[in-house]
Parts: sequence; structure tokens; C-alpha cells
Amino acid sequence: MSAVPAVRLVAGREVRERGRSKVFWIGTSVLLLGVAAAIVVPVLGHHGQQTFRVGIVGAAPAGLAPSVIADAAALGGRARVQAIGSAAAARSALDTQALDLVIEGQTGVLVRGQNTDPSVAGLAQLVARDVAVQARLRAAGLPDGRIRDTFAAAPAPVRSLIPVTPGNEASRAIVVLGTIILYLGLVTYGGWVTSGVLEEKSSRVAEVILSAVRPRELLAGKVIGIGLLGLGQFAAIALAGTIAAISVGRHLPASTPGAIGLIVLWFLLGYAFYCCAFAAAGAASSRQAEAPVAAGPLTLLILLGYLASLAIQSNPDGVLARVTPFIPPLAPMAMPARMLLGHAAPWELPASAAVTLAATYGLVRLAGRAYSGTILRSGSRATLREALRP
Amino acid sequence: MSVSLAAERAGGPLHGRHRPGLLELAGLRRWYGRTVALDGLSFTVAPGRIFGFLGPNGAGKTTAMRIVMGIELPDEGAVRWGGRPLTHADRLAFGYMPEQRGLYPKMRVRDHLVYLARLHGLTAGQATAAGDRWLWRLGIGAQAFERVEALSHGNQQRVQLAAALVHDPQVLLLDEPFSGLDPLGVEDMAGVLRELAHTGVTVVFSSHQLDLVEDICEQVAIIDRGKVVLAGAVRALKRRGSPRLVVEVEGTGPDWYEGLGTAAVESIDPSRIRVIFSDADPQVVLDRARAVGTVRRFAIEESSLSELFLRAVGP
Repeated sequence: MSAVPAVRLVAGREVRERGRSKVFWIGTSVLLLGVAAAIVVPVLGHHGQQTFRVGIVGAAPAGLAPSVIADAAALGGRARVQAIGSAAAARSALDTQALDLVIEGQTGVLVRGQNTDPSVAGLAQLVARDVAVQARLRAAGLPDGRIRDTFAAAPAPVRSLIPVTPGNEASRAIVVLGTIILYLGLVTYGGWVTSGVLEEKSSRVAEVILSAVRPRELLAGKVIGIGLLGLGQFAAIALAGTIAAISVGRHLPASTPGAIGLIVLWFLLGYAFYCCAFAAAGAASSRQAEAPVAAGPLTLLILLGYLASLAIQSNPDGVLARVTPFIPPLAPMAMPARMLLGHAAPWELPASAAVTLAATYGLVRLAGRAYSGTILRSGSRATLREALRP
Repeated sequence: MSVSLAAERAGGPLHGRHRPGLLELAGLRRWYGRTVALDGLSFTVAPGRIFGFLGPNGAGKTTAMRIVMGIELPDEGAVRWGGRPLTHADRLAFGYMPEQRGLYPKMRVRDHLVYLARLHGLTAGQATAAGDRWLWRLGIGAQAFERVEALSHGNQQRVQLAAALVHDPQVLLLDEPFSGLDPLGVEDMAGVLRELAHTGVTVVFSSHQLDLVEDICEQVAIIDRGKVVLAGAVRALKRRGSPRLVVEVEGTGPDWYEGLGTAAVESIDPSRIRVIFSDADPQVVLDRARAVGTVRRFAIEESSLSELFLRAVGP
């Protein structure tokens, strides 16, 4: 049998047998639900404008309530201000989350402290300053009416140098979610390759198969088969995510398909880079317990890639963002974040892909040799040197 | 699959799609570090024969079979088929049952056989038909849709044999096919092998149980420490080995045979002993035996393979 049909048969078996297993379908369903939930739940929890519940202890100075409302508006929310009879009642209302913020006359502003919503904390800062400034103005003899009018003024507009558009937001969401899925995908499918190879080795079926196909055909068929399943899962996730986003009314910019395509591209590059190394880890082991140890360095590298992506997400034009896309083991997760969030030059994507592909070629050859050298070896786990011996 | 192969296979019976020819192992050498596994192993197997590849554990049988199947490479020497070096494509016409049995435990029996047949170049239709035929032929047709791991040990062995046969190979290499089989299983397996040899398949099997298989093979190569110590047609070998004289006499002392020739003695029960002469005049022995007691058995027997082996490797 020539190589291509042999590879196709091996890949076909891989897709059929794995696609038939309950584990695969349960895993896929969990992933789909997870992604849909990640998109839908934040929207459900977010009922338009935030309403701040503010209590004022004792007699409120004139002008304080309007200024609280103006402050809340500056933060994009509304305020409901109510007078509270005693400091004790106000504190217990704060404690039971009946109130977000309490103004204790001239003495200051009280928030819960632990788990305070960042926008409540922001409002507290503004209100605390208002209280102090209004007291000074009143002491300086400014009439209450003037104070009220002054503090009810609308805030001056705040503009962004780099505009935050819904498109940016969507890109960020795609990067955050996409990186998590990339990470899970590479680790999961890599693990499948390792355990699949080890299953063939430990059940000794490899010897039967290898009497008909060459080791590199068996290896290629296995990683292609698992890669196709992975790609299918990826496509299903992208579809589910898009449907979920549209159905809850999220804005999807025209760049969304491109962003998803970029993630898929890097999934393929990352899988190509890692898959044969995962196979070699399986072939080098002889018992199921040894496989995670043998694959350990690979999962660690993928985790490093994920951490690099997190760093790039918070600083998409920093040093890490410029360097890590050119380190092949990290590039699959670093490059999408750099591309979608930072200001990547046009040459960066092809250059990063080329470096990754070149490294993939070298690694596949090396791992393929290690695989062929150890798949039929029995006994203890092979050392790297033994595996690579021609 | 190459188009020509597919066309050839679609044409009719699968036998005869390749040239039938001698399988020839020529001067195979293989070292594992400093251990010599094969030390210039050479022998030839004719098509349509059952060939026993015999020898004690560790003699190099498995290594030789793996080299024939291309799973291992020899350090020196070559394997030829029909006079030409054996290629990967040729090996698709070979069936192989490794010493370490192995199947995908989670795969369904029929799917498994179809998969293996297709890897050997059969079309989906041919593979399914061949899979079903062998499942029923080996008596496991009812288990076709069960997972391999759900089958009994004996039935898994049958699936393993079916896996080696499903693509109707021209050459069959079976590594220790009789190990772990009960006497009935041995007879079943021997029947299948005889049938295949009858249709022109070259059957090569290895065994370390020389006496168990001496009735099954027509030709043998007995190897020890990586080289052939004895080879040829079983009958000729046995004839060549000097026959032995087995005498059982009742009601006599244990020393009646002394002076008659080289002999080994076994007592069967207190009053009866068996004496095996390797060089003695039968007439003289018979006269003496009749004189000392009641002769219960008097037979001239051919040597067994294990005796031949011991003589060949002995001091």
C-alpha cells in the first residue's frame, strides 16, 4: 500500500473509533456548553445601567444628593439616595448589601470593604471628595443653591486616544476565550495522541499494524485523525460561540470571522508543532502511568505559552508581546493575542508562522525518529538518547 | 492502494496475485548490543509447505520473523522472495501473527478485521466479505460486533489468527501460534494451517515445543543461538537419525540388558522396566529379553525432533 491511502485508513479509524466513544461526545458537549455560558452569562448578569444604592445618615446637607447622582452618572450609572435614621441602621444595611455606600454626614464615606464592586469604590472616592469640598464651600459662605447647581454639573467628556469600540471588545473576548480553548485543545489532543500511541504499544497491536504500514504512516495517520477531530470540535465551538453571541444581542464586528480564523490557524500550527512530540512521548513509555511524565515537558511548554498570552493580553505592545511570537513553542498562543490586541506590523504574522513551521519541520523529524525507534521496544521507558539512536 | 493491485484483487481469487516463490533467509545476523541474536541464519521455505521454525526460547526465532516482516532490520544478510529482495509491497501479501498478541481492545471484532484487511490493500467490500468469512470459518461469527476485550482468551486468539489471515496472504508467519492453546485448540489451528498449505500458502510457524509440533510440519529448521543446527524434511531427518529400540520386559531384574549396547532405562512400575537402546542388535536383544521375562513391548522407533535437536547441539 502506498503511503497516502495507508495514512487515510489510519486517520479514518482514529476519527471513527474516537468519534464513536461516549467520552468524546461528553467532552465536546461540556466544551460547547462552557463556551456558550461564558458568552451568555455575563450578559444576563448585566442589566443595563448600574444603580448605586446610597444611604445618607442624618440630615443631608443640601446639594449632596444631586452631586451623588451626578457622580453616578459620570460613572455611567444611576443613584438612588435615601436618608437613614442612624449610623447603626446604615451599617447593617451595608452589611446585608441593602446599600452599596453610606455617607456619614461630614465624617466620611463608608463602603463594605471586602468584595466591593470597583465602580462602587470609584463612586465612593468621588462622593468623599464632594463631601469635603462642599463643606469647605459652605464654610466659605457659598449659598446652598449655588453649591447644588455647581455639583449637579455634567462632567467634562473623557475621550480615549485609542478608541474603545465594540470591535476591540469583541476581539478581546475572542482572544481571552480563544486562548483558553487553544490551551485546552493542545493539551487535550496532545494527550489523546500520547495515550493513543501508548495504547497501540502496550496492547502490542502496533506490531500487527506495522507489518502492513510503515511507522511514519501510522504516526501521520494518528496525528492527522486526532487533528481532524480537534478541528471539528474547534469549528463546533466557534459556531456555538457565534450563535450564543448573536442570540444575546452581542455586537459582532465584521472582523470576527477573521479573528476566529486566526485562532484556528494557530491551533493548526500549534498542533502540528506539538503532535509528533506527544506521539514520541507515548512511544517512549511502556505503561499508562509513565505517559504523563513523558509528556510533562510538553504540557509545561503549552502552559508557558498560555501565560505568555495572558501577559500579552494585558500589554499587547510590550517586550513579551514582541518576542514570544518568535519562540515556536510559545508562538501558537502568543501570536493571536499580539495580532488581535496589539499593533503588529504586517510582517510579524508571516514571520512568526514561518519560524514556527521551520521549527515544526525539525521537531517532527526528530520526534518521528524517536517514535519509530521506540514504538516496538518493550521493557523500561526509553531514554531520549536511546530513542534517537539511528 | 495502487490501482494495479486493486484491479488485480477485484479480478477474482486472491491467491496467485503475486509470483509464488521460495522464501529465503540468507545469512541473517543481528546483534543487540553485545548479545548475538542471529548468527548467520539461513534457510529456505518452499511455497505450499508447512514449515516449522523450531528451537528453544531465546534461539532467535522471533527476531528472524520480525526481520522477515520488516519490523526489524538485520545487521547483515537479506530476505528474498521468489529470488528478489523482499519489499514492503511484497509484505502486504504476508500474514503475521506476532508472539506478543495484540489487537485494539476497544475495537469491534469485525471492524478490526476489516481495518487490517484494508491496510493490506483490500477494498472495503472485499475486506468486509473476507472478515465475515474468516469469523465464521474460525467459529466466532456470533461475536463479530463485540469489542475485542469482551471476548474470552481463546476467542481473542482466534481473532488474532483471523487478523493474520483476513487478507488471504500468500505467506503466513506465525510466531508461537500454539502457545496457550489446549489440545483441541492445537488440533483446530493445525487443521487451518494444513488447509491453507493445501491451497498453496507458505506457512511458517515457530515453536519451542518441538514434540508438540512434529506431526504438523513437513519441513523444519531447528535453530539454536541464532543459527540452524538441523534442517530438512521431517521424515528424512527422522530416518537419518538412527532408530531406537524400545523394549519393555516384565518380571525381571533391572540389569538384564547389560552388555547389549548403549541403553537408557526407565522403570514403569516395580515389576516392569523400559529400556531404550540407541545401538544394539534387535535380534540379540529380543532373545535375551524373552529369556529373562515376559516381553510386553518391542518396537523400533524413529527419533523424535527433540532427540535430534539434543544430538545436534549436544557435546
